Amino acid sequence: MSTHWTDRLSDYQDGELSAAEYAACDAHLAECDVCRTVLHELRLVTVAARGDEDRDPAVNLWPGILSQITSRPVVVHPATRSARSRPAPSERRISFSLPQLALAASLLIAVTASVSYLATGRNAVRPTPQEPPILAMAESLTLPSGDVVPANFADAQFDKAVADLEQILHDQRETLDPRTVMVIERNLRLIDEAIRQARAALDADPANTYLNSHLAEARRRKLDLLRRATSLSGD
Amino acid sequence: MPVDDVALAAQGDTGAFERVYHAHLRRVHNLARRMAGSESADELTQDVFVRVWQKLSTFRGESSFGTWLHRLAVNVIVERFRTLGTMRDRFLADGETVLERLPESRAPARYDARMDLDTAMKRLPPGARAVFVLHDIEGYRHEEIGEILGVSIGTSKSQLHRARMTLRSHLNERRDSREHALD
Repeated sequence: MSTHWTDRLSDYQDGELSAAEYAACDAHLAECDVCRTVLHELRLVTVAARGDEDRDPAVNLWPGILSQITSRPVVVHPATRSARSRPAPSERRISFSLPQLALAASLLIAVTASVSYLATGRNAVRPTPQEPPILAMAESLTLPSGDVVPANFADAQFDKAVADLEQILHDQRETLDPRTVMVIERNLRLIDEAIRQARAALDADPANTYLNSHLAEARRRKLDLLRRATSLSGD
Repeated sequence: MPVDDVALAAQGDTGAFERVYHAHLRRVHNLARRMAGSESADELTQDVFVRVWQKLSTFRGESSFGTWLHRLAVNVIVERFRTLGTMRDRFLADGETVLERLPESRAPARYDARMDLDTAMKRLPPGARAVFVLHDIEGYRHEEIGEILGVSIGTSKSQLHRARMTLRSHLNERRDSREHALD
């Protein structure tokens, strides 16, 4: 046995030696049983590696990917808007725990209430700190002011993402705890109602920044809730 | 997969991107599983496809889309190792002694070629494992591996040999244990 040639057997096997080295290694192999055995076994390792069969993932990974790639903001600043605006990595991976979902439900009630307030009182002013605390909480959810672009009701990408997530949730509904399903569906109804009311109010006042912010926030919450729900069903 | 799906996905069409995902999922997931282990494969696969989505606009068609995506996947996985500090620091040292005792003399072994490669590869340090997977399974050349991992061609070659020797040692143990069980 020669440690020198044993250490070169992979190179020999892979055709990485020079002609002179091949000749020398061949001569050594002709005399050395151990190195011939090692070479044979190395070839078996390579054969096993190349024959390693592919397997499919055990879980559906698409909902998690969809959740990350569609979490783009609806309200953007024109100066930074591009044809294909995508979120920065730090803006992804939004997830809620069930207690957070419960809190979200409370906040959505506030959102709905405040949108209703505006929808029925056209001359109403923005909420002030003197208003009930829950409305102040809802107000804190609005996105930063500035050059707010009216939310696009016909945003095909948002609608497609929601439709995809709803389909996934529907398909995996049976795998979720019924109580979780109940909470999710109740929250979705609240969000849908908030969206419906915001849209109705915006029909009459399309440029209203406050209403646009509320609509954007409600839509974002719907997407987040669906993402979380589909991720729960994938757990 | 229709080529148009890549173009549509690059324009933000998530439906087209889902088709791209399904077309390449298996290869990416298996690459992640082999390089990082089953426990990390799902998360890495998701990270790869999110990165693909972000980088689609940079695909110029200079190579096939599959080749481009695969190289991106390798980079994402290697980046993860680097982030965790588990790649370059865990190559086997060049001066390290041979990993296992060589047999004194023995007839060529009759191995089961369908060995559990997952189990065997768990014995490898991440760096050596990456070289083995990229070279022996994915078909990369040492020059490419050196570039991807940031090591010399010589290091790539020596790590490949040591990885194979470690796997061979694992096979010997498995065979010996099977023979003892039959005694």
